[in-house]
Amino acid sequence: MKSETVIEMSGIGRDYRAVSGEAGTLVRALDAIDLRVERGEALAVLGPSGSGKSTLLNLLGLLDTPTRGSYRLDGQPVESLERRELAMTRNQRIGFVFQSFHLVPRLNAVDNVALPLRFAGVRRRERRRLAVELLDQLGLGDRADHKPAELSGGQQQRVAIARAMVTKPSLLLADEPTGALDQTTGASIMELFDRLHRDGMTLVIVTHDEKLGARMPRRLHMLDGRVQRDSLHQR
Amino acid sequence: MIHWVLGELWTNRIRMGLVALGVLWGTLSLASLLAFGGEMARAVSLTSKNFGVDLMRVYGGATTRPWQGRGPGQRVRLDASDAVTVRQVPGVRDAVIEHSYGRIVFRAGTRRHTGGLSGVEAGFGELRSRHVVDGGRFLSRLDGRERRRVCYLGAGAAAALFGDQDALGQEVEALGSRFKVVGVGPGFIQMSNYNGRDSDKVYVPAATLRGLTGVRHGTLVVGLEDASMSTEVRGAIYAALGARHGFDPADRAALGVQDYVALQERIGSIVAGNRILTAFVGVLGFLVAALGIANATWAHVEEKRREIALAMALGARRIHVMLPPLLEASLTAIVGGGLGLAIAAAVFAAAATLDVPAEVRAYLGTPSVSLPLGGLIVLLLTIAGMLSGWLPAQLAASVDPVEALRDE
Repeated sequence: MKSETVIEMSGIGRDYRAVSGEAGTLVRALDAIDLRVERGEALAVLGPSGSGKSTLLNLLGLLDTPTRGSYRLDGQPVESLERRELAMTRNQRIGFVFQSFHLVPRLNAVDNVALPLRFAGVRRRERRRLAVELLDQLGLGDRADHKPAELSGGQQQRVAIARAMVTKPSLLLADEPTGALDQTTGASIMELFDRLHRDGMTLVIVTHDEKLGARMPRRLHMLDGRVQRDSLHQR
Repeated sequence: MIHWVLGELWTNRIRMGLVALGVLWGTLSLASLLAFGGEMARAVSLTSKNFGVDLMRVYGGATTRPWQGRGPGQRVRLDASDAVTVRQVPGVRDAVIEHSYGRIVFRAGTRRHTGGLSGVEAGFGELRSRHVVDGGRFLSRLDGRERRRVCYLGAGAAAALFGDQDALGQEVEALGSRFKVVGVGPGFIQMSNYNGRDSDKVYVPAATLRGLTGVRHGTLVVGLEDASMSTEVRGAIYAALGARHGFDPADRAALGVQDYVALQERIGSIVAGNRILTAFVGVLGFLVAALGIANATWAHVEEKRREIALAMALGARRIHVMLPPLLEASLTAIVGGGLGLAIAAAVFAAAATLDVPAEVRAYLGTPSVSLPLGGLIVLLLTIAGMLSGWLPAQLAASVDPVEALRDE
């Protein structure tokens, strides 16, 4: 039975040692982050460049580890996870959507969608069945065998979203998902996120676009590595 | 996973294909070098044994030092009784006298042949590896004891006197006598000869030659039990013959010694040197191939940093990112090397059917890609492939997904 709290961060901080400039200078990218996200919530992380929102996303997605604080994903503390367990957790519980899609150019849409299943050890036939099913749901059934270069930006992002969804994760993380798209296509992608949210998916979308953030029920404003404002606490 | 790796290889097919071609060429060269080197060593070793194994020839000289009241300049001449003395020397396998009578004319019917005549004792056959064709034999002790007029013909002498006919049982005329042919040598290549080619010689029992010509002196052919003891045995022979002939055992000029053990060692050194050189070139070739593979695989990993980072973000484990470069490098090595090996095997198999002169075969043998050689090369290729892929695989595993996936 999965916990109802998907994300539980307490006192999270992330420091970097500066590579350029004054040697040995400590850069505090994130500090004192307390965040709790319940299952089915949709959250927009907003803020200007350098505010720490991407660092937060990387920590949430287990691509990076915090310098201090504790993080529980689906009720499980992640600090103690081994490298292999972290990879498996990313595979099973987290879906990533990137600004520039990051599809594998030599693979067609189905194989791109099925990629996380490959790392999960799912058999080829089953991988294909699940990927085709998802592409159908996202209206890309007729583009299943197309390579990324043969798809429009919006279609590529849909394929990327399908890829993020294919393992049925607890959490979908999107980093500027409409940043590389025109306004109309961006809007259709946001509608897709709305639909996913309605279906019960937990969403965290990082964006610097206030209008896009305004569509999300909960908004987290960041500045200088700290949460400046959480709309949840203002209600 | 194999599909994934094959897909990676396919996208990189031109570069890896060119690398594989390099490996193919390297393996072809290495297989040829090893096959030639190994076969040449075998052939040279076999051919050198055709002269005899662990031999010395000892002949008389002249003293240069006074000894026990005798002044220097005394001639030393060896005869059959000296062979008996030398046989008693520790470390000597056998010793026989050989009377070289020089080149004379032999006749068989209307055919003539000019070649060397040697009177030898029975042990000469074993010492000098006098092989015989089927049905014949070398000269025996009884031949000597009864002073029989029998002879053993070298292959060249037999061909000159009897052509395609079987020489066994036929008669050869020489020194005004008739000698019955009891043995004929097969045609084989020797790396060294003395007093003319052995193949052209006719051998008769030493006692018979002494009886017919009055010749008494000759050369001792001495076989050693252990080649590594040649210096000690040589010293003991000087001591034994010095006591008999009255010369200082330290007087080196009193006897002449043709040391074929040393020659054998020199040939062995040349063959060993050749093998070391071959191995060095082979290792160098593999190193170059491995570096080529490593370089291409490294470049491939560098180009694919984002894809690797993406795979990590999607849940790829360490093995998922390390295995592709490892397999890519290994497959390149094994495919390129396997093809090179197959081509080398095919070329050698075809070359083995060619009609090559016996002299060439005697030194080069019949090179082939044997199972152990093929296995060794495949093993080396696999190791080279794995090593070549290891660093690129480490590079792949060290990709930081946060850094690599950062959008510009």
